[in-house]
Amino acid sequence: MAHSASSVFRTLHGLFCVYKPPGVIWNTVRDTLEMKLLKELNALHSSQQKILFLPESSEGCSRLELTKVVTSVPSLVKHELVKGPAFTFQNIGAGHRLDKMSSGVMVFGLGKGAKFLAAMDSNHYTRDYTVCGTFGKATDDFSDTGKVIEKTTFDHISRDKFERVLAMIQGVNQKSLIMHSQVDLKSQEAYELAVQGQLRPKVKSPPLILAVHCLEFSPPDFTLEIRCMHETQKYLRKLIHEIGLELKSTAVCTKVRRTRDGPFTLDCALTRSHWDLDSVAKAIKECQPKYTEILKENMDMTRNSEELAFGTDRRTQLS
Amino acid sequence: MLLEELDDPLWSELDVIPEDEGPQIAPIPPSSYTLKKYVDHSETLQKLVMLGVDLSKLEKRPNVGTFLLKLDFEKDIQKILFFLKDVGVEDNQLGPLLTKNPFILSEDLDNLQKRVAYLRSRKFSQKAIARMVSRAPYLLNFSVERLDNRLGFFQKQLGLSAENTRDIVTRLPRMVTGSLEPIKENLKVFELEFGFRKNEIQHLALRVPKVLTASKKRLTETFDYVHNTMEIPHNIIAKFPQVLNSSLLKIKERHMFLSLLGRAIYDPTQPNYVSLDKVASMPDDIFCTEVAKASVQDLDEFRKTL
Repeated sequence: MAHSASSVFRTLHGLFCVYKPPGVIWNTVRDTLEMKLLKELNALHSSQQKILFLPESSEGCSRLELTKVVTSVPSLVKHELVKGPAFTFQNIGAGHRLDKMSSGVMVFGLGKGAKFLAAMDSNHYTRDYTVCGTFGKATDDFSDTGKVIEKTTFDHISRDKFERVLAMIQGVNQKSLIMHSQVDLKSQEAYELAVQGQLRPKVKSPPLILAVHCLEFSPPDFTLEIRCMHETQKYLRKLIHEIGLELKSTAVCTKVRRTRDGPFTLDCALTRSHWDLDSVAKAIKECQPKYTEILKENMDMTRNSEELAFGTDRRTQLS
Repeated sequence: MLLEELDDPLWSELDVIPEDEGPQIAPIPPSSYTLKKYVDHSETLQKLVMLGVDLSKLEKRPNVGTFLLKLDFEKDIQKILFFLKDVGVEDNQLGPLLTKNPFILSEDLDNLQKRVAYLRSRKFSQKAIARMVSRAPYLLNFSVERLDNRLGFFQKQLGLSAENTRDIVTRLPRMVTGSLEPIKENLKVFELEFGFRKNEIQHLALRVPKVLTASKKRLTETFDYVHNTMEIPHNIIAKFPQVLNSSLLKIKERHMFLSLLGRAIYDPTQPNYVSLDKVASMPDDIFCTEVAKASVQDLDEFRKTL
């Protein structure tokens, strides 16, 4: 590679996403990324040479002359073995977390790119999940590895009944979605947002499910695709548990897998074998349009909320 | 007024300042947190750096910095270095060895010679001793009695012949200098928790000595997956112990990939049999082309569905 380590280090700013494997804590993923990047940067970095003026004797025509000649001497103070590795710290911030047992797209911000994470958070993006479940038992932590507390039959569950429960969940959530969105449902603005499918809360809210549909139903196993916001993975597992109870049976969640986090999709996610300097630098470059879009949207949103605040002020004055 | 002072004939910039009165360019600090400031003044440190000793790592350890600065290269260090060369340690191994164990420089030369003589009397070859000393830097800091005890421990616990004990210790000398408690615990785990037979444990240890020092939690997790999910019986695991030593994530991923392709056949009597060590230790690209008969992109895509 022709670039020097520090010039590469300077370009490492931005957002990228990785595919977190199941069974690994997100912090471990972060630390592994940091370790690998630092290792490669340090390998790029070569020991420096110091320029000194050393006296050197040169035979003149008749007598010994003492002149100072520019000579390059390896300076031990800056030697790698004395100074320690050149790069010891790389700022990596994590986006919306995934807990240990879940897998999928997880966004990381590198260097100054970490500030985009805050913008992403305040944009209140929706996220897509693929969630698998199994009927027949209930556990204490709603996942299939927990302690079994109940076993039930599930022969009576048909696809029809299952879909009806899903529709009910979506309906209930739709109502609270409109409530938390804080727009007047009779306004033109609300209509336009709803047409674009952008109607969602722009403030903090309890976990909301925007859409849920069944990908696969072969009892006892089933797979759901869920679009939601402000969720945790535990909430999704609990949802599976509640679907089980609603169907007069029980269910546990076997897999939670995030397929999209805001603008970041599976396609740009780096898998475990690609967690290295080259791939990360490339991913950052490729994701650039995404985070400029995030920033733009963020600015739009702050402007809108200021207008909204102004509007409410005026209304209070009037009344 | 000021100009007059400058023009004072007593002080001229052309005057020659005596050597000892002139400003010293970098005074040596009396105390410091790092060895950095002493490197350009101390010949010992310079020579150590040239040998490849990592001072930045050593200075983090308590008292090591002062200890190194007090040493004299000619008097204290040279003899140990010559001794280590005589033992057969490679030139490029000296730096890393001293980085790990600088205290070998404070050991008495006679003692060191006695310990090497002991190892020779136990019929370790010259090459084996050199390998052990460079792989386990603290080995020569152990007294002869302690070394004897430890070698005896491995021979007795594993029930090995003298030849095999030498082999296992040469291959993983770290075992001798490390704590013995985890090894005792792992042996119990293999016997009681996993249910391996005595001779199977012996075989495991001889093939991959590293399983003895591996963390108990990691071993249990891996064994649980390999035995209960992949349904591989004890005798096959004992045949390919490498599988216990590799990352669980990798094994999981590859097993699922192979089962998706219908190639997860680990029974040697069946056709299209896949040996376990191929699953455990092949690099990704070779695994894909030779075992899975798929492309690396396929495996990558598959990883995104886990």
